[in-house]
Amino acid sequence: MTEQHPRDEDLERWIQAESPPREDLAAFRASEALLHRASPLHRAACPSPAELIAPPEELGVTLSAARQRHLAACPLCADDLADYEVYQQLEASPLAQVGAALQGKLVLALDAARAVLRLLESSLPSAEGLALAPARGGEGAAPTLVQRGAFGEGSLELEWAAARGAVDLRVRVDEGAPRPYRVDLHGGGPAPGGLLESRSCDESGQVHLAGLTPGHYWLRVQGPHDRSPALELALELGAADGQALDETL
Amino acid sequence: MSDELADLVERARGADAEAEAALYGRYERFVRRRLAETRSRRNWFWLVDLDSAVQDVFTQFFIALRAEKFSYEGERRLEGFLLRTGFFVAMNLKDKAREEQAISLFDHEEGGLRFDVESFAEGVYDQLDRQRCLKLLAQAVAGLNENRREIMERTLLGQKVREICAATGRSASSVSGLKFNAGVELRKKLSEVGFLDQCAELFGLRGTTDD
Repeated sequence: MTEQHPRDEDLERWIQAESPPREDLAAFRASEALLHRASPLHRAACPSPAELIAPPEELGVTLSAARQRHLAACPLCADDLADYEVYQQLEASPLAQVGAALQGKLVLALDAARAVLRLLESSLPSAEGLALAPARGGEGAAPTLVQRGAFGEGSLELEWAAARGAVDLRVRVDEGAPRPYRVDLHGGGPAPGGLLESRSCDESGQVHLAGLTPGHYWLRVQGPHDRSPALELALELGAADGQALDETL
Repeated sequence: MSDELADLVERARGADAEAEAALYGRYERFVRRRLAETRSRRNWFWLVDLDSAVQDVFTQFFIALRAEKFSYEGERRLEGFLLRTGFFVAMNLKDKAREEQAISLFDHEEGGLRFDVESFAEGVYDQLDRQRCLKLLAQAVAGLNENRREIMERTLLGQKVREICAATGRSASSVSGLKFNAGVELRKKLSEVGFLDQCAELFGLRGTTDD
């Protein structure tokens, strides 16, 4: 035996306490080692990742059938293939080549009293028809900032408001926009990070994300059948006391 | 554009660091976005170090280039190759994370059994010897009583005593005793079904199975 498998501490304590006969212990150890080596976790019975995702014509009839049988019995390969299907769908989507349909960056800051929001920067296109330009608010201080943009056959409205020292976001769509849509909030960074919150719209077509604290985020709005987001926004929320946006403020 | 790209690929094949950096600069965000997107959609919690994964993708791509495993036939094919490499890198990381984890015997979302030793043996991919041996193992496991069989199946899926306690509501002492006795009996059953004679070598068990 060259390969050691991790021992189970609870079991080892039991063995130590019970002191079973040596021949029983040897028999148990042999079974334990076998189960470890035969485990699906070892992937020894699995197709390689390349074989797992190969098109059937590349594998041939016999191996394709073997892969199907294997997939039906191996939870790990079934899970890997489900991963690939998502990965592949993104690849197949022409939108994925260029990212979201509408991308931009939005920088907002709360004033010193954390009661009013200011728009510091918006790289969202402002051309008519594709606009997510501020509808109210803008450069000056305002209790809320509203932005509108095209979404499917309709439009989408983002309303930002200072609330209890943080920022509340309310997303609304009109009749022509696809439903149910989803709003995902990710951690910030050069690319979207881990998913922090995901909300589907309610019956009135609204999503409310409350209490966004200063920080860097990515916001995505996605229609029910879209493979890529309709809107992807790199969002920076800052406060006049310097939190999160030192470099911007 | 494509001539320039073809030239970059050829130079990278010759280990030209400048060409490698140019390809990395051009496609890094493309690969990163795909991995990050799938991470959030499929809950790839184990993909903690995205930077390192992206680096791995390019390292493997450049190795493949030098080993003549990739020939440039247009940008789409290059992107496809990078994405496939990204998937393989991700699955490798996933397997490493799995070494720390066990698989559930049941799929609670589907409401049923998600693993069965006999079906698993039937489904062994393209290895007749291993398939024959796993069928013998399944036969041996099936010869145990219900409680011991379940414990051995859970052990096969990497579950430790603590996880089996959580799943079955038994005490640690009860599960440990059951697991030990099931293991001892399985050893006898393996001998009876001929596993030890036919399969010990394949599973690297020589020296642990001699009576």
